[in-house]
Amino acid sequence: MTMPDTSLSDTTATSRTDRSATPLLRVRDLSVRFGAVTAVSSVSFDVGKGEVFGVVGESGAGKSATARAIIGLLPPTARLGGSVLYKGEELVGASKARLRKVRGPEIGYVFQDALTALDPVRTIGAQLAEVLAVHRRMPARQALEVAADLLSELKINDPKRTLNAYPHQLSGGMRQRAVIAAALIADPEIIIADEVTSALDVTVQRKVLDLLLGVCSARGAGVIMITHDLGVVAQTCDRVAVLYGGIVAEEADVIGLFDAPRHPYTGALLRSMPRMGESGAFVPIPGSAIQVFGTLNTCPFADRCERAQPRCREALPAETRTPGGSYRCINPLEGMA
Amino acid sequence: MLNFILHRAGQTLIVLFGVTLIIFFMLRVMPGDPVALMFAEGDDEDIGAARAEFERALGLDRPLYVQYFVFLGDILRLNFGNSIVRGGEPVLDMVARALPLTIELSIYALLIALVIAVPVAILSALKQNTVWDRGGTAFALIGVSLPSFWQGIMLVMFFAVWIPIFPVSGVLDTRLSITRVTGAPFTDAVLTGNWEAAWSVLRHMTLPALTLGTGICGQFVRVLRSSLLEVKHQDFIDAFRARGLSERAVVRHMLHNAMPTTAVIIGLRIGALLSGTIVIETVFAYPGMGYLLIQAINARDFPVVQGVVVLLTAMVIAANLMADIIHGMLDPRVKLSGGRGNK
Ligand SMILES: Nc1ncnc2c1ncn2[C@@H]1O[C@H](COP(=O)(O)OP(=O)(O)OP(=O)(O)O)[C@@H](O)[C@H]1O
Ligand code: SF4
Ligand SMILES: [Mg+2]
Repeated sequence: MTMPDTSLSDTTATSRTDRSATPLLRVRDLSVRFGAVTAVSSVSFDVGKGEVFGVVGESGAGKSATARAIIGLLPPTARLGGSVLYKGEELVGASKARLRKVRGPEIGYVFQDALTALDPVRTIGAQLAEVLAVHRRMPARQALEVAADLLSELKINDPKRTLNAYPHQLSGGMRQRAVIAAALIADPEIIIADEVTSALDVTVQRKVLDLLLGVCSARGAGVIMITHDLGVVAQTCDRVAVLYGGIVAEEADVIGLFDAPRHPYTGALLRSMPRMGESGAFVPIPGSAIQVFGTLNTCPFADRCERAQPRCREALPAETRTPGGSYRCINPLEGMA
Repeated sequence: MLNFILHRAGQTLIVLFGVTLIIFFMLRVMPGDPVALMFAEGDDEDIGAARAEFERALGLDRPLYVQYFVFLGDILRLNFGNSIVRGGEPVLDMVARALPLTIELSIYALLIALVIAVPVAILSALKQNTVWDRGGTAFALIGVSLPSFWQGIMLVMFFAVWIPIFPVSGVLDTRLSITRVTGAPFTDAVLTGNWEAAWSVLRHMTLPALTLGTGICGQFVRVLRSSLLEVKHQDFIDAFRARGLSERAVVRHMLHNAMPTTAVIIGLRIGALLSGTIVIETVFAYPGMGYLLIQAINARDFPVVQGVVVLLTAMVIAANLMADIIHGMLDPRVKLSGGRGNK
């Protein structure tokens, strides 16, 4: 199995074995380019029904670009390649009208910064009801009742008051819950949560995450949990993809990833993260994150990797299958980090 | 809110005081005085006595500062005095005749400006950095920089000389008449169901309104375009799309967000609009406040000039105040409060 490079057309993940018959979402060889900048080179993963799938990586790894590509929410300058299958339906290149129908009732998107993700001049209620008006043609009064129910499910004490409030009148945690409600209100089957808690106070983060996951699991919705925080992954996810330089460096189930990382970047990430019980000794990754231009034909981590070999720079390492996932490295770690 | 009102009332008084001071002394410093204009120079001595008598009657013989305080006292009692020239007609009567005309003209101009500016700004903001945007920006620049009197004269030439579609002076065809209800000709014509007169008034107002409107329209395009661009790149716009809203709805929400800023600018531009009317009304011989003011200045009719200027100033202040209140209503984040530092 060789995959010399990821030029936009000629790679297909033919060798991949299906884990489940038809996953809810199947991303294959997704690529996103902004002119010369390649935000995503080649990203593939599956998300099953009710699964919490983590996407972790440093700033600039291509997490948001991947997430936005899934629902076709990229600026017109972006060039999109590969395939996104939602319930077997191709979303890459789908019509605008079709994408609009997917956004909301099929795939919900929770934005990172709750203050800027809400319209400052309209009430929370108006913004939530609008989603139901668009997708269900639901009259405002009824929509507000649905919204109030959802808000109390998200443990907001006085939903009526919150619905009448403007975003600036709410606390950060409340606002983030309103943003979550806006993504959930049309009952999507997959929620993409892009760094939903990074703008929040640490004390509130955990609570908001629990609420989000609680509501999603109550509805059996799959979750794509995007974060730069491995702690969040450990606490919430079933499976995880580690992104680096626009590729999936490693994909595994969470326990496998933490116990036996194969990709040196994963290992370095784990070492850079203070672990419970162990005192103080975390090692930052030397160097800074890579910005990819044009076609990626090297291991993107080579400049920072302590296991790098000359061969690593000759081509993008092919995807190696493992029992629980895959990694892209020609000199992988064995056993414990 | 009370704080806001008190603060604004204080500001208003200061501005009005300054304006009375400036206009009063400017008039006295200007060469020529009303009495001299009435009594031609070089007449025989008898007139000297009559002239002194006249000056005394008008209080023009007293020291300037006394005259000023008398004037200030009158204004505070809302007594604007009588015209020196036109058989002593009360200034307020003259204003009452002219003001409704100017208000109607300004509203018409404002409407023209908005009707042109809103679509141009939307197009140019949505298609940023395309031909559409360049065209819109160039259009705004031309609108802003063309002097309106020049534009007015061009329009007069065009529509009077080459294709006479619109009348270029007055408010109404001489053969028509309007029953007075409010004093505003178009409104009265409509109220009394006099459609022919309404049409005639509208046609008379079109050229001056067009001149005024295109002048302020450039400003509107700029403001609306830049606030739309600011809104366009905010996260919540993409959040709307991520919730499956149509582009149409997204644009509507962008406009809603851009409205508050634009409303404030429109309020601030009311001053420019009114000062524009002074020139334009003269160019088009449209007997509103501006026309009245210029005529009074030419005749050195001090009470009329002073009264008109003070009233125009008060109107500008009122318009700004209204814009702030509307801003507060459109943008829930704005709290009306006194002084600076309101969030
Ligand atoms: N609209 C754009 N135009 C040009 N380049 C872009 C654009 N959006 C993203 N990029 C580039 O694509 C790369 C990936 O960006 P992306 O936003 O996906 O990173 P991320 O993993 O979400 O990082 P963060 O944790 O900071 O959100 C970055 O190098 C960024 O500079
Ligand atoms: S391929 Fe080479 S450079 Fe890249 S992570 Fe593996 S060992 Fe390091
Ligand atoms: Mg991001």
